[in-house]
Amino acid sequence: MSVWDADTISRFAQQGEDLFAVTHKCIVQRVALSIVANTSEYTLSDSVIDIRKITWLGRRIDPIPFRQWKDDDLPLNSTGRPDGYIYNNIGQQKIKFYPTPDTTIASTSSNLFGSEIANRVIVEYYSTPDYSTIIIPSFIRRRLIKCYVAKMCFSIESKGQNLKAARYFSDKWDHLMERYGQGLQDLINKPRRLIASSTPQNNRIPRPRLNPSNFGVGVDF
Amino acid sequence: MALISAIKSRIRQNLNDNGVTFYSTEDLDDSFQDAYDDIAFLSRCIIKKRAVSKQANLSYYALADEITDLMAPIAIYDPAQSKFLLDDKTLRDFELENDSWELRTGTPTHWAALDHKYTALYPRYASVTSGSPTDAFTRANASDLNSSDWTNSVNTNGSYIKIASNAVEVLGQGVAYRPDSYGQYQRSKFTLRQNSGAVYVATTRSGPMVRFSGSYNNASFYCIEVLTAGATHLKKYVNADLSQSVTGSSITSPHAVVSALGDTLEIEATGNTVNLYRNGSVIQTVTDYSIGSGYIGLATIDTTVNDTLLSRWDDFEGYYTPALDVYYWAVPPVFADSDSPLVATDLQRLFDNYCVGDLLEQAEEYAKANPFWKEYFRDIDIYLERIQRLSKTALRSLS
Repeated sequence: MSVWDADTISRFAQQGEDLFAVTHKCIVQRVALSIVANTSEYTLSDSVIDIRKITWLGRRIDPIPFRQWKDDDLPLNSTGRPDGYIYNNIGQQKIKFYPTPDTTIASTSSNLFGSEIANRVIVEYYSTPDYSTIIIPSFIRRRLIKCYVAKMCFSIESKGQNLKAARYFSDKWDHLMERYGQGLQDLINKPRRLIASSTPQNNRIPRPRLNPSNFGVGVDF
Repeated sequence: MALISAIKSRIRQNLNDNGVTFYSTEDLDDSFQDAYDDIAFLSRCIIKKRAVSKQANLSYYALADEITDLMAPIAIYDPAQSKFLLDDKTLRDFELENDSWELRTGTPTHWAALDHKYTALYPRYASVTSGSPTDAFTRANASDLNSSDWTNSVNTNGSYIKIASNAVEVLGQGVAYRPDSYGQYQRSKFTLRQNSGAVYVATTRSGPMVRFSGSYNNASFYCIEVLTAGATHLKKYVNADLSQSVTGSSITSPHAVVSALGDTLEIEATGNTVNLYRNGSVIQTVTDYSIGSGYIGLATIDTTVNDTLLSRWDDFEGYYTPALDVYYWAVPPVFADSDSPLVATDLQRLFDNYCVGDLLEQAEEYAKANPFWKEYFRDIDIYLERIQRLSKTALRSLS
């Protein structure tokens, strides 16, 4: 019989998975907000760690810099199609759009990565796991969580307390967090450059250009 | 190449566990699977290819849902363009170019991963045209299917798949397939016109097939087989020589309902599911991951060379959705002792070091475990560097 009960082990398993998901932001989810005309503030789910991107009928809208918010330089009383938002600067899990939306846009839960992008207000966010369907990558999950559970079980006050073992698994957890996190970063976020690095430069996506006419009066030298 | 049973035996020797059995079989098996998973993740040593159907108006493909052993994509090839999509951009780069890049349509030129589940194609397809080839075989008798729409791959001993009396007559081993039908989602339907009774024995079988690749003497595909007295079931062949005494892997048991002359028999492959339809109704469904893509057509397995009529088929109807080929790093399979691990022979000591370290650690022998971990991680770095170098060379030679 185990020294630790199933609830304790399960609790630490969930803590370990939470820790990895928060540290390495490896779970991405999408939700379509139900937008109501003349309402600017909405509440996001508790599972949102951070917002990765928001699109308004397919067009990206950006977070409003803190300086602009502080300087009171916001279109507080205007309505229209939002071009910016503030998240969590106004309260836990709250998001506020500027200017205030002037249309109602319904929510949906399907095709948020495809055909519904053009029709919805979609928040793409880094999510915490739900430990069943929304989980960290399964190809690292078991070994990583096992290590955290061992670390914590050997640490807590109980018949099974073993500080030498706790220290060993703590070091191993730190090592795996770093190695798996880096491995995941390489797998997911790093461009492969296996094909394109050998192609001519003129195949590259053009960068956006800021013409002088876009930001001031042109000066002839 | 060592079998896994031999590696496990070495691990027990390293633990001085031979005969003593301090560590249970379950302990060792768990540790070995962990080692396999860890080596595959950290070194990315298992590379596979799978076809994924193109979809209209889809910006992000949930590749992990379609490819169950996916770890991450390496490269994406578009057979329609005969080229790899470019892989030097991130999603951030797409966003810099265009605030609404997810809505831009066209022929994809780039891809980038969002997370371990979703991968974006840029731009996305506005529409995808599926193929629905048909053939009533109403034409002059010929020694093959006598049409540029079909490719025959048969043994050279005779005209084994041919046109006669406005139908397909099968006399020996081989395949006839549609070279324009490459894909992952496919259907192939024929009407059974003649069942020559005694020839439907274990060594002589034919029926509609999907996901065919190779040639008659090195063929992989799923097919329907009609056995003696018409019992009908699904089979798969992997790298099989259809002129030899091959045994395909039955992926279902023969169905109780027999097929009769005039029945339509259809095989459908979608993702990891293969369905068998008889007269429009599903009679068998199986899940199988072995063959990811190929062509549709008709297959015959026959070990005899007798040039006698084996079966007659008519009224072909096919369907396919164009696909992209995804090359990907894969997670390892659940191991069996009789397998050889998918790890380079000279670095299979990775298993020894991982398992010995892992099992010593479970026995709270931490000081003893550390040197094995040190060796393990040193070898992993060596292996990763080797694989990265080889991947780059291999893909560039294909692009």
